[in-house]
Amino acid sequence: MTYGLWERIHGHLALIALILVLHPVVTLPADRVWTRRTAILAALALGVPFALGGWIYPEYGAEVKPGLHPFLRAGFEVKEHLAALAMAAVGSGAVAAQGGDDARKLARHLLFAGWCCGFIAGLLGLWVAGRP
Amino acid sequence: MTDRSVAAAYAAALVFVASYAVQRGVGWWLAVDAGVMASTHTAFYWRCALAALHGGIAALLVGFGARDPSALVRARWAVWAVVLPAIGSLAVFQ
Repeated sequence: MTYGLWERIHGHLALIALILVLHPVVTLPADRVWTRRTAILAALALGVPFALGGWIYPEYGAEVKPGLHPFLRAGFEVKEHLAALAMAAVGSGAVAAQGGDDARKLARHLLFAGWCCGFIAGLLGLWVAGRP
Repeated sequence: MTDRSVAAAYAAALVFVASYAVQRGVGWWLAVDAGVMASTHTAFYWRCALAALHGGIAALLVGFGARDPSALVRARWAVWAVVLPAIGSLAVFQ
């Protein structure tokens, strides 16, 4: 029961963070203060569900994972992998967003790459969460 | 934020992604995942920690040693050159 609750909180926070990541991806061509700030906020917002996912992972590994179909289990491992990549890309993108013109162009690529990884991870998460 | 700091963060991210993907590939190659990942959570944490360590070392090297950090900042193509193969490796290393 507790695991299920945290799993849902983790998923909802990740969804909010992914929406937030899109803001600097779209607005970074313009050099605006709030674009830079939202890049930082997006990285922090993504860090919360990532940390939460790491926190509930042992319970998942002990109680949920053994009962999953091997195909679903493999899907979840891919989701972890993508979440780690998304965190690295978005974190680096948030730093790059604070730089000059070239750095902001780089930041868009990093943030978008991170968003893509996070989006696929989210889809896999939904798939695993809807397990039979 | 200077180009040197941005280049250091960029290098850290690229190395983190590459390190994580390689570790997953090695785990698959050694057939560690099949047994270990099914029964424990240690591998995920270790992978992240080791990839973060590699990324940190890369950031230090670039931050203190790069002669032209702005060249790395302009190399935006490297994002996709590293991230896309890392995503693609997921389909293989199962």
